[in-house]
Amino acid sequence: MKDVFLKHKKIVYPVIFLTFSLLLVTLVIFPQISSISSSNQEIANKTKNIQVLEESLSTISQETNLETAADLTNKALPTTKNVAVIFDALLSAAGSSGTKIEEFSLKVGGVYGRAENTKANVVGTPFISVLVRVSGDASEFVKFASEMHQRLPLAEITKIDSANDVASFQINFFYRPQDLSALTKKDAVPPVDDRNKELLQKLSEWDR
Amino acid sequence: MKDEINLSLAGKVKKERNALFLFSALVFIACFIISAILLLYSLSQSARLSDLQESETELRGKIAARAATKAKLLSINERLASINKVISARKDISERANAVIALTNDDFTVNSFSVDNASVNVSLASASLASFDTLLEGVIPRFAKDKPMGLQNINMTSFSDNEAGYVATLNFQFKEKK
Repeated sequence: MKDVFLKHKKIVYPVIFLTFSLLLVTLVIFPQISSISSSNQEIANKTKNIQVLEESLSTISQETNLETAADLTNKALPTTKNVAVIFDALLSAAGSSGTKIEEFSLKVGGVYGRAENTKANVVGTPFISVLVRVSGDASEFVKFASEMHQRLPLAEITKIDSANDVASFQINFFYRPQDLSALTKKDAVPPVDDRNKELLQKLSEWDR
Repeated sequence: MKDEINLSLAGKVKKERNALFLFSALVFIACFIISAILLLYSLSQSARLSDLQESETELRGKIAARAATKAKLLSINERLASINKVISARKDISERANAVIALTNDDFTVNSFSVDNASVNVSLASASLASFDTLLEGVIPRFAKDKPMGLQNINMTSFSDNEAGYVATLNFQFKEKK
């Protein structure tokens, strides 16, 4: 055996080297190339995630006075069908315009369960339709409509019918339910930008 | 002569075998070096990934400690986006009603009016026919010339007189607000 090996060693060594080379290529080099490629992708994703998280942490640490902004946004667009808030807004607008609320009726709709048939017209925002009868004169009715437009919660008047000293207003009050648990799963927490700060300023002016 | 040929062949075979040995050894060394480099690189990548994972966990922990603030901020941003959409999309029909009613002066009484997304109907009463003349010949044409708020046409749907004076019903058609 030894003699055969010694006789053919110049052939046996290359065969051994090439076999080991093939083994290295198939068992180490190709799998490592594949593994490195996927780990590079993973590192890129993690780096991006970390950047997002760092920005979010910085935003969360810097933002102050969120209570007022949260109250204001929830007042502008309530999370529930809040009849008391609607009534307050109507009374307040009537007081500012010199009109008097004679009666109002609304169809609240579902109070529990999935809101499958919720009415929505403004970019998918649901609303409660309210029919209000107001007494006053023509200019006061117009002022009442204008006041309702610049008041919280956000409302849209779709129809006004007046005769003599009474007018009926068809008003849609917007609301938007919120799924906070789904919202908080997001990693990216953007700051309140300048455009939104201006909007908050406008909302605070409408919060009368 | 035969021995010379054999010697020459043997030398050639030996040379080829040496070359094969050298080539296979070089291939093996190259594969070994590449494998070693890839393994080391892979190890360094694993270590880096582990560090990044640690940083991510640490950051998530810090953010979790401020979960209430995060929820509030996300909620504010989400609601502001919705509010912005509502404000941009809703229509203020009081602007048109106000513009039409502002056309009348103290000589007129607004008996009734109705407003919707596309039109303003107004019933006006006045004791003076001259006031109607001024309104119909002067004020309304000037208003129509400016074409404010997408005004398309104006119709007088009725005109009558009674004991108290004259009553006219005007219909202002506007472009529907979208």
